Amino acid sequence: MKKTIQVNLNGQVFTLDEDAYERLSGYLNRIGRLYENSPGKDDILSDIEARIAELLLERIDDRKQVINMQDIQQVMDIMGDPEQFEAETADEPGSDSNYTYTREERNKRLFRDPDNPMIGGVCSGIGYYFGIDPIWIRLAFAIALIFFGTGVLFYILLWVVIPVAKTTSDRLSMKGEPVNIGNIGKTIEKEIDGFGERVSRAGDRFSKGSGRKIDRGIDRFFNFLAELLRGFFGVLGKVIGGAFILIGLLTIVALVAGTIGVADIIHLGSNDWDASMSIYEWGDIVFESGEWMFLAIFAGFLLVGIPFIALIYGGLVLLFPQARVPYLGASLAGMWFIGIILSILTAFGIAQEFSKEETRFDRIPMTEMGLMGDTLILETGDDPFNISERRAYYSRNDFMMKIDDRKIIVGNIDFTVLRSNDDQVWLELNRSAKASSYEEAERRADSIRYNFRVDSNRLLLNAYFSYPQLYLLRDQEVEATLRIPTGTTIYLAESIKRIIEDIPNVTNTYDPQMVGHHSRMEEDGLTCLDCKAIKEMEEDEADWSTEESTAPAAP
Amino acid sequence: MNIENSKAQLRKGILEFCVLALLKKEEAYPSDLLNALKGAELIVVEGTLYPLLNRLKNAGLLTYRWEESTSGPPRKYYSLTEQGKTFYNELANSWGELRDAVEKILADNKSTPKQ
Repeated sequence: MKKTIQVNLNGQVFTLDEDAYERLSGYLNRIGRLYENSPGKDDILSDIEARIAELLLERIDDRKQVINMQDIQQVMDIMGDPEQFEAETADEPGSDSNYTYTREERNKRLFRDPDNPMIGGVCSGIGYYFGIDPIWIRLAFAIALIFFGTGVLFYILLWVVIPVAKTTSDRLSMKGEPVNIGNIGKTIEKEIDGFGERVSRAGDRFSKGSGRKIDRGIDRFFNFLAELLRGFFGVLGKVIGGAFILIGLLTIVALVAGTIGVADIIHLGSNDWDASMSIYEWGDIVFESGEWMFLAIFAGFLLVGIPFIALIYGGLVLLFPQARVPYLGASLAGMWFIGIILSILTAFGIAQEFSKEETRFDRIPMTEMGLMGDTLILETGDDPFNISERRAYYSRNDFMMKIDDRKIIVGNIDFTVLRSNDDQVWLELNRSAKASSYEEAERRADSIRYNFRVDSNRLLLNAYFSYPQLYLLRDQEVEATLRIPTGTTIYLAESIKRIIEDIPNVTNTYDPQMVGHHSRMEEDGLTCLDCKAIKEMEEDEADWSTEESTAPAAP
Repeated sequence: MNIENSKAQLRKGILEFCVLALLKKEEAYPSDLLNALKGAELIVVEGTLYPLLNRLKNAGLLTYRWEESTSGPPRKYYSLTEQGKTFYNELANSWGELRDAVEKILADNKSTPKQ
């Protein structure tokens, strides 16, 4: 059983097999394209349709009422390839130049270029379409590959969605050259070097005499092969098409949901603290202005969203070939390139915002602050992130941030102990921030608040610093360095693990293992007085090389 | 040098002229023209004719009218305009001269055969 389709040709009704219909409508479309911008397009087409109707009429009778593929093939052989039409007449290229010119302007279509492909001819085709060297398009794809990875997916999609330039007039339309006899002749001459289908077609065109039957045979063979492949990939194509649509839709939904803040996409925090922020809250503290944020979101959406829209479109085209919309592929590609450009602009804008760094340096005399005693006890003071002692040392590597009362609170402090260059105890604070200008960076650094407390011989250093939200996230940092003169003994309390950052010492003991012990600043550096690990190391000195710095934990 | 290509080049030049000549004789609809032209092997594929007719019509050399047909939908009958007739006469003159010149060369060829 075969499905048939009824068509009206020049006022007469014909019944066609489905495949015959596809073939005929494809043929008429090609003719239509060839005369797309010619003032006589409708006349030519209706005359040709009338003639086809006549020829088809000869091929049906009471017993055979349906036009099949073979009939259409015969009619097409009689009428000839659209490209041959002009080749048989003496119309000189440029004879009516106005009209060729407008064609040139309008007749450009997006095709994949089968003649200069790196992979599938996508970039080359786009290059022709926009009139730029394909190397730039390829470069854009390469950049997109490195930075965003969406390039690969998008390339495959464009491959699926953009038709390959099959015929000579396709190739001319792709290059935006006027489709006329001179150009067709030139292109055909180039084509003769080709293989397979192209050889058989060119042969067909040039040897109308004795060789024609053989060429027809070759033509048939390749047609058969093509049908076979189409059949196989047809089924596969539908499956892939369905998957494309599904993936595309799900991703778009997720993207939209994320962008309008339904979901808290970015989840900061751990067992100890929690801060989920929507993309807008992030945008507020990353971007200078609402415009920048809008631009970045828009660029991101184009960059990530467009490929998935193209994915859906590609899936639709695979499922329903008639769903192909002219110029949609090109528009999507164009929007995606805009997305890339906007993303690069935003990235430059943001990078600019981080280009200058300023540091405010303060040196606080601790004795004057009341810190005194035989042994200085170093502890962590307030910690709004409530990191448990067990996890304290390891969570230092996490970026801890929250917003509270229009203030940004950052829970990362780098604390170390060094030798003082005089006989005083100093606390040195380095507050740094970045901006697009030194003045602004300095303002930002200046705005950072960091607090500590002194309680006779105890120094309590807070585990956080804060600054007004309007100064945004600009890589603000606080380094706290305690400088102690030689002979001073310190005790690193358990809680200091939260902020400790590489305390140099003579035995090169791993920082957390110095915690809970007394150390003294000796001539040659900070020395642990009661570390078990060191005692063990001394005992095992014969076996352990001196480089083996991190002693095994005590049993 | 491809012989088919050269033959096509020869045909190209005279196709327009022949179409005008056929229509000078009597008005005709495309299928009549096709039969005549194909009989003389002036065109190979029929599709060639329609753009040509359209071009001649746009140039003001042809016009057409619709005529009811006994065996199907109405047909387009083409005929020469006054301008077309003048155009044809000029072409016919130069064809005459061209033919005489070519004949003469061919005749010379026959009378002095090559070795």
